[in-house]
Amino acid sequence: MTVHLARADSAYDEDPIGRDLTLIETLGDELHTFDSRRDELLGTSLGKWVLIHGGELVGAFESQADAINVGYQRFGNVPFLVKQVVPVEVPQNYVSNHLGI
Amino acid sequence: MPSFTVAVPNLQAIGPIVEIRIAVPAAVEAIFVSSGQPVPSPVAMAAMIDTGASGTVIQAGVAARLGLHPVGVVAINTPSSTRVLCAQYAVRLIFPNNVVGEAVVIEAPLEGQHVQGLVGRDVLSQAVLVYIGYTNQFTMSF
Repeated sequence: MTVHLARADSAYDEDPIGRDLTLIETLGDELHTFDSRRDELLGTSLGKWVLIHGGELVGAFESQADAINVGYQRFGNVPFLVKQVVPVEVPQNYVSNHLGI
Repeated sequence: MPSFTVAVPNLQAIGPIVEIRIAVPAAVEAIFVSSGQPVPSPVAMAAMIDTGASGTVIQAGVAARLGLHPVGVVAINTPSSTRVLCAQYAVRLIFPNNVVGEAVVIEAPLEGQHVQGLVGRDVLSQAVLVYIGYTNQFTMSF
């Protein structure tokens, strides 16, 4: 079997910076639902990973992978939000200058 | 234990860079197959093993080429920005020797870099990284 590989750098040339912003807008309903129910979730699902799709809270799961797999099984290959319920979100850190952000 | 070793001409100058492929995760591959759609080909990229990166990063645009949609949003800090929101994607990482794993990665522009991806501490949390500077090689085992 021959696998045809594409180079990642050529993809970037064709794709404008800021695509992530568009995609985050795609999850606007889900993020709004998470924010509006955060206090409730902190009481019921602390530390768990919640799955939200289309503004609906689907459930809380023990792991990120479990929540993502249920998302794909129930909704298919579409945008959905999986987010851990924590009192304070700690940003990921990137100490080198590789990222153009 | 699955592993791979990479020799680099000048490890200090170039860094621990490995050719990897990014593919759709198994769950998405099953969706493509069950719907009769072709599974997108993996995207090859040079990626740096980066102990300074909390998570793994792929070049902006790669997820779209794989037909993937975001599964999350996370805030990141960089030397020049704080709390920038990035979309997260579930992907399959294919290392040399067909060492394969799945991860949730962020997409970000890697402008002016000699790499198109960063392998961060989320992947390293499942691995052993042996960096042998004086022989210009490194090994990762899972």
